[in-house]
Amino acid sequence: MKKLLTILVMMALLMVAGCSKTTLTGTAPEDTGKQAILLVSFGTSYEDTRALTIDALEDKYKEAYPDYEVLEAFTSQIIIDLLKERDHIEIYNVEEAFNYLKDNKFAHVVVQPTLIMNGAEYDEMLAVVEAEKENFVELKLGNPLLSQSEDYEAVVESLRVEIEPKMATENEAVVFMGHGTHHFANATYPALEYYFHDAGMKNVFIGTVEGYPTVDDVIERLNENGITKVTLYPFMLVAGDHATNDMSGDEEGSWKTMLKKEGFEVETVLRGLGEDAGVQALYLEHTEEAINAEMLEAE
Amino acid sequence: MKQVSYKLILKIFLLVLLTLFIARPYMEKGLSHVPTVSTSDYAIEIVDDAGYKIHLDKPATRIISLYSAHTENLFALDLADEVIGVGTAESFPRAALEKKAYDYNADPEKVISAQPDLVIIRPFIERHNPAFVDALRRSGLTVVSLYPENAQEFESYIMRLGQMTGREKKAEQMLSKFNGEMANLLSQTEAIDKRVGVYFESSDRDYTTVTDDSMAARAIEIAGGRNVATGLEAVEKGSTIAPFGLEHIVEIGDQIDVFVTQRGVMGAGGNWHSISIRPGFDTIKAIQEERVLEINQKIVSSPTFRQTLGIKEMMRYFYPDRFNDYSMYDKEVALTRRDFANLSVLYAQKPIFVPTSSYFNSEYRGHKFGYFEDISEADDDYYFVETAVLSGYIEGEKVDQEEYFYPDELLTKEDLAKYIFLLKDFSHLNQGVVINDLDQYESARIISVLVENGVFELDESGNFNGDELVTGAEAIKILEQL
Repeated sequence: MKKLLTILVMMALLMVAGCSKTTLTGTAPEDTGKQAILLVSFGTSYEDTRALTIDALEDKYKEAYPDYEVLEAFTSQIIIDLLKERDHIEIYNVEEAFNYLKDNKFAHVVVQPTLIMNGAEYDEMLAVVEAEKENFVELKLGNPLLSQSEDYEAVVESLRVEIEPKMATENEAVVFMGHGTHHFANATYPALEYYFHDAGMKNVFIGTVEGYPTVDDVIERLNENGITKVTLYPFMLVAGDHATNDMSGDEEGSWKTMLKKEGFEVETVLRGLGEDAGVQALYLEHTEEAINAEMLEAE
Repeated sequence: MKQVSYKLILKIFLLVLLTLFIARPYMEKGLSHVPTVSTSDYAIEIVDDAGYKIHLDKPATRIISLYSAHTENLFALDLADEVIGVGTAESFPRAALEKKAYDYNADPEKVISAQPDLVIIRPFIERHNPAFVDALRRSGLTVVSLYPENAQEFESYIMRLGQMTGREKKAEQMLSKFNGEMANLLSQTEAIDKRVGVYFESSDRDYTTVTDDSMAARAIEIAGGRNVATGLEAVEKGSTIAPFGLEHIVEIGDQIDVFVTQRGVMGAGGNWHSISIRPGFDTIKAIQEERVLEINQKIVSSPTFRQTLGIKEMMRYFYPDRFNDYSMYDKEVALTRRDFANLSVLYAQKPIFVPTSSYFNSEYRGHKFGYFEDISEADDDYYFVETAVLSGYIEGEKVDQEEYFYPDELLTKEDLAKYIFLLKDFSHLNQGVVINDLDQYESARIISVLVENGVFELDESGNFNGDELVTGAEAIKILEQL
């Protein structure tokens, strides 16, 4: 009888133990020499554009850093959940990616956000990274795309080849659609427009879906500058939902339709920034800077 | 002696407890499978698609439907008042969106406390969240799981909905009308000799297609298409999704005249751009000829009466010369806004807009689908009017938060100019053409460009006369000269 009771108690204990998550001990991280680069993106549910942008970038990293394991995480839990439920694709969020790295005893980790700016997504990611730094021998962090003045200049120059032919006359403009944010980093967008203008591309205008400048602000700029023809590009890593529907969709609320209704001749280019070789190179550069930098200071 | 007795009781107790615990799910399901000795005690008896025998004393009057197709069909059976709750992914009819929504991922108590006398689910819900469904059943609610897995099961599915709700006659009528429409559509396409080769992509994830017995495959056939991916096994029993893969699609690329991509399952589905950028797809005939039809799964794979709508859409796209005809508007009478909505969608060969549930959750700018006070869902031109407005071809008006289309008002020349400019690409020629009445028009820039491009001519006084009415014949003449 005692045996039966013992077995039952043990089974119950095992079940409870099986449900609990691995917890970390407070010991110092062991230097196993294992290295990883964690690419953190907002994410997209659009399979085909993901292949051309996020996955292409991941391939570049694998090629450039053969001694590192390269893995990806998304910051958008909505997209992660959607991909899991709809497509049965498991993608880590940032916490889960760190759990993987810890469980597999990675000691040297570089986190490279493929975000555009140091906005809300970046802040949230940073909080997770900060909390993890004592669990690794080295934990380093690369900058998002537009972090320093040189980054803006590099992106503007990288895009010049693509967009200058779209502004062959003074009546032709290029409009980039950025996402926009409530975060103070939204100022990145008007700042970027300044950089384009300073680089001699006066007819480049930046608008956002959810921040400032709005599409109405952009239309005002276009009218002020006597523009008659507009080429629309997404200023987003991927040409996903916003680019496909909000920018170039045929529906009445899309930027393309709104601009046409105002009498502009409109062309759209569905090309995520992640497809641009210069942008890819800039992310790699940011990672290289992070690798060569000092480790994040432990508090 | 006392000690032995205690041990024995404890042993028996534990064994009974263990047995009950292990056998509980089987017992619960098994009890429902036991055939009743007499069915006369129950007015209604059906077997659902999970194998449960369902008994109802009287037709249900407090129904919660947790699947959008069930909801749509219940409304089609005139059960708007009896449906007291719906799922979270409803999109049709509009009245269903105003019902209280219940989430099968949330607390089942919410459904239980609404005291429905019938909860209709589908097997997916039970697979996805068995605890939720279990809780409903254990609370004593009548839970029915229905899902017609293929085209053949649609009729029995509708009849069972009718039986449970006392709407057998309505169900029969609806099915008879539906079958008549299907037969009519088939009669229009069956004589087509040279059939277009169609590849149907059910999902862009893993590049799957459908099995031969699926609703989509039947729709292609009735629409006069020739499915180029046939004889495939389903990914799992009970599914109509069949694996195919990128390489296979490319291999049969020369047979694919039209590429149909199903959209709408949680935002899934390829579009023209995403499909055209796939490696190797430039060799596919449909991609080369830009014949990619994006179609909402609600009208092609969902078990509702709107399947006919999906078939008509395919017919328009497969054979535009036969089924996208707008010659009925070629008359010397002023075009109404209703007729222009039809003409504009047909001329542009624009697929009709069918909203998904997420459409109604998003903020929108301009018109919201289904919200015109003067165009109802029962209107024959409902989808064409909605599509024309949502495409920006023609505008409605908002008056005190209510939207109106004014279908019987007449089209002006300025309205036509706005449509033409939206549809085609025109360059600003800056020829300095003087249009005397230009400053009267909201769309001055558009009018100026179209006059410069020779689309419209000015009268002898150099006026555009944008307020003039346009006849169908005049509009078609201008459109065909573009």
